[in-house]
Amino acid sequence: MSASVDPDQRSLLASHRPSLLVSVALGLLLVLSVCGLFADLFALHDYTDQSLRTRFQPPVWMGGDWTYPLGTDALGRDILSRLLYGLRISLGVALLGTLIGAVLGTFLGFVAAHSKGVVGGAIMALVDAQAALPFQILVLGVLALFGNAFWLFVALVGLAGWETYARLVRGAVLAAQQEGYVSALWALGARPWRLYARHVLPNVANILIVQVTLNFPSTILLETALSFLGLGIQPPLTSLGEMLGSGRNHLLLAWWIAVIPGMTIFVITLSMSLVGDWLRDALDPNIDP
Amino acid sequence: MGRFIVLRTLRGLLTVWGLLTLVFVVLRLSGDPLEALLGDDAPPEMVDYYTVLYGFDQPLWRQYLQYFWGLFQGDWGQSFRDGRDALEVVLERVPATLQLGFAAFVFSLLVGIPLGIVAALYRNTALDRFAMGFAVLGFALPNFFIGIILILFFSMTVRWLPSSGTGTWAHLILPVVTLGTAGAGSIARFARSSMLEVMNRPYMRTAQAKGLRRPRRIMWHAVPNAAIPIVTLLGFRLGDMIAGSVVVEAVFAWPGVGRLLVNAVTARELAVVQAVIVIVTITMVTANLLVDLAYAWLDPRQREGRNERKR
Amino acid sequence: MGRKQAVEDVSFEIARGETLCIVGETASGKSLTALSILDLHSPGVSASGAVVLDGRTLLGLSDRTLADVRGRDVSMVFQEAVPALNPVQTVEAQLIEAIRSHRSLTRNEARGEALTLLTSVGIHEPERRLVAYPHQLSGGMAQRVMIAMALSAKPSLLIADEPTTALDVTVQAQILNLLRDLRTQHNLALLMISHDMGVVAEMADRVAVMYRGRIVEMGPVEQIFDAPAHPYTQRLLAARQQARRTPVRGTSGAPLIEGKGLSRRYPNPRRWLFEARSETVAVDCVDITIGQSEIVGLIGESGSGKSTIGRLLLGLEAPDAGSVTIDGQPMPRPGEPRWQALRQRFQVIFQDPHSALDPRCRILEQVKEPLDIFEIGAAADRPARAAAALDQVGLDASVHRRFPGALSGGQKQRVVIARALVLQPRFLVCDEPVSALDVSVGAQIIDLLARLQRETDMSLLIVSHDLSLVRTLVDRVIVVKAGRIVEEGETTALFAAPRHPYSRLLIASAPITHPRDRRRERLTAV
Repeated sequence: MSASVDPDQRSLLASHRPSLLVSVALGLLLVLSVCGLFADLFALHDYTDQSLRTRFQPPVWMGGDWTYPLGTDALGRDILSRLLYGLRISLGVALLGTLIGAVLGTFLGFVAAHSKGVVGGAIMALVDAQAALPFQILVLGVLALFGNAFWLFVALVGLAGWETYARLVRGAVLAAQQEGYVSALWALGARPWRLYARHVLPNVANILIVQVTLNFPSTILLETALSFLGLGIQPPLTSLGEMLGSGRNHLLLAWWIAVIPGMTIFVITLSMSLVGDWLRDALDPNIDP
Repeated sequence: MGRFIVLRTLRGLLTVWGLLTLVFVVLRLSGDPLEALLGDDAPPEMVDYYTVLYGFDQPLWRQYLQYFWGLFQGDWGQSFRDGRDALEVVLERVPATLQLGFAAFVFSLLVGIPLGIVAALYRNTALDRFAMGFAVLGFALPNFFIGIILILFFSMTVRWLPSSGTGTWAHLILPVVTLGTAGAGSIARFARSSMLEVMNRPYMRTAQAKGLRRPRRIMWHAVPNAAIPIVTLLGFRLGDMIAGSVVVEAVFAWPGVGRLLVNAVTARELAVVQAVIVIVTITMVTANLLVDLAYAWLDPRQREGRNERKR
Repeated sequence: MGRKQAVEDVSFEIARGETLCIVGETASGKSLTALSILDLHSPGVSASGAVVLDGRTLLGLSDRTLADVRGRDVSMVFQEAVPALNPVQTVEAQLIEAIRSHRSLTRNEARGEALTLLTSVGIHEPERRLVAYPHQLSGGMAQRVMIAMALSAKPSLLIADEPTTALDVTVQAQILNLLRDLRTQHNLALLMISHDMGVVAEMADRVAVMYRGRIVEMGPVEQIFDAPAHPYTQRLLAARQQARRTPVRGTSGAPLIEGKGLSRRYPNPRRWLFEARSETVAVDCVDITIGQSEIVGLIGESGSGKSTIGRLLLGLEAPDAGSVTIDGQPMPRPGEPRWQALRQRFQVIFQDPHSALDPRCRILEQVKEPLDIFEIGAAADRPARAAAALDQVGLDASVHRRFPGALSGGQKQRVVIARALVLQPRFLVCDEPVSALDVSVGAQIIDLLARLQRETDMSLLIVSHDLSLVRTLVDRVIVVKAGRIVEEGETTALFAAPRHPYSRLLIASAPITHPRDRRRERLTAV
């Protein structure tokens, strides 16, 4: 009798090179980021230029002309230029928001894990409270009170995910404190700051990177959803959600006004999710380096 | 078990209290609320009138107590527009939202759980890849975009289903699919991973060694164990569902709480916004409490409310 | 696509009423072999060859057909019994399911049968156990339930995969006895998988030794023990029958550490909100002395409080009552400056070497870290010192730049020892230093510890459940049960004539070293 083990079953991701799909996703994200970053270089028109004579121009592949490659909207504004600026705002806000949430959440997570007393309890109570109310509803409440301002909106988007980071980091730090090597080093006389900096943080870092990539799509969805409702990014600024929101009134006449930014959002969130899933598997701490 | 229920209920009440306090703090203390309400060029007599009406001339602790006493009595403030009770304005919208939310919840369960289980059982097959592809799409597609695509196709191209309004079953289909798809995707993913995890547990091998056939092993040993973590996910899903209903109601002109909220925010109807937030909070806390109880009821290890084999 | 060949060309047969033991170390393929008989592999494992039961070929049958064989003709018992039972079903539901899947009994008849089965595996109050959930059972109890379940359809072959490895020695002895009785009673063929030559000596009629996926030697148990042919078998046996280390000195050395009236209690979680907090007493009024350069063994079963005593002596935990003195000075509390200084001289080695090293940090770096913490020597000299410590434990420069993941368990434990040693401690506590290691590797670690003690003259406290380890290494033995010291004495004397009944039971339960020592009398629990 003989038995054999298929090594592929033991670790499906024995090789962590990105698959074709993930590579395409990474490529798309890169292209879209460059487009957003250099929007002023690529834009053919000013994205706020209105012209009532050129309203509802179709994109080139539907019989439009190259003056407006992706057509025009209800006010005759160039959709391509608006898309580029919308990308810049949407990606920028999501990036800033994600960073704010990650930094704040990580810091509070460490604090909560370290001080298990009143401070830690208060932080965890805040985490619970935030988890008990859908954040989008809370944002709407704050916007109702203060009205909409760009930086307030960015800050709110940033607060969206902090509790996930805080919970994750706290959990990881507490788990690390139980790890043999941490208790061994503690018994050896290592002080807490040394343990955190040298032995806990590197092990938490992977979890954080993965969470950032997984959180980014949610952040961008929050921004676009609010802008779609007309409560987020306000004209004359534009974002992908704002474009979609203003385009949905003209679906019968010119569906592309809504579908083009919608597809763009979809491509971003899908690519980011794919990259996040891949990173999560590739950085799995259970696999020896 | 008794201790567990009491503790969880207390914690739920504490969360409601904390959030209500937060709402109070945010609404009353950050800047002059009247200025935010009336604008800075309002005539002084109007400001005085509202100051007295809302009790802003009272000391803070007094306002705080009055606020809770008012909530307790069902006095949640008035809508500016027509002077009706904010609570009443919100409550009349609740049935429509419940109808939509409940249907979407059932939809996401009915699609998500079987999909996840089948994907786990046929791991690494085309079926699995299809199911997980659906799950990723469900997560990545913004619900407002799903809604627009569905309207474009079913209402405008083939003209099978209405794009807005309410009344018949046909009106329900598109909003429910739009609202439920994201949930179905994440439930499918979660169901798959918890099934996979359970299938590798030692007791599954015991069931096999006992001589049980595969269908029985799956239905009697794998699914009940995999169901336990799925139940906790449902509590989280509810929050996303509520958030999603705001957008979906806007897309399909559904006369529910979500649309009311958007309109109230646009019109800055603070009393109505506050009432919505309080109702959502109470709903969420209650739902999470129920989830915790269901979890304890499903898992005998939790039933005792503690882990005896520590240390 | 490469497939790893884990087991190759393994052949054996087993008759009714006979016990065959397959013995081998981690990853030798012994469990895989056992699982192949009933095709119980996880996906990705495939078996080829032939398995024949009473003239019927099993391997290659469909899952449906095999389902009738599993549990009815061939049953299996696994290493960890509690996780092998479904956590959300009662013992009753699982037993009845097993009974009714092979025998056409009504639910009530099956319940009666379940009670009979539980009684036959030595479970008292079977009615009460029936309604229990697996997590409410102790390991030994759960293993009895597993055995009852395995025997429910009167199989002809019982496969037991390390059935007692996760259990305490006294429980292990009871379960082994039970298996032996049941084998005779039901005229079973018993196939036991084990890594423990003691268990083999106790149970086997015939032995198959597996090494790297092959059977390297097979024969009657006396022949294997008396005349092992394969070098690997010889090594396995040598690991068990180590030469006794003669104590370097008696207990005459001046006391290094003295604990007086030590007690440590842990609060239990409250069941009801305002219930008075009950406490678990881990250590109860213990007096203990460790002499200069003495090796002391602390033995007891899981939950006896032995590890807590170690932590109290190290100062890692403060006692609730009683005091610890070092060279006559009181033990500082955690966090005090003197406590920090003490950490340099008092070292500890934990049980599991796999988790004791940071997976993302290179070996030399980790051994050097204690020097950095205490700022010993010039920073430039520290790597050399760390390298010297590694050299002392028998690891050369080739491991310096490796990560722990690339090292074997034995090598990791050596690194852990080097990390403790680099500070030149006066007192080293080894908490179960070899229980996570294979037998032959563990033997090397014990030799290493004995040699290091001679070279450095430090005091050693060996905390262990393993009597053979304690017996070969230590000068003095302390036996703990339920937080109290029940007996204490010079090693040879204590093993020759244990006075306390618990010490006697513990020693009698210890696996034997040769089949000729097989005891006929039955052990009873204290």
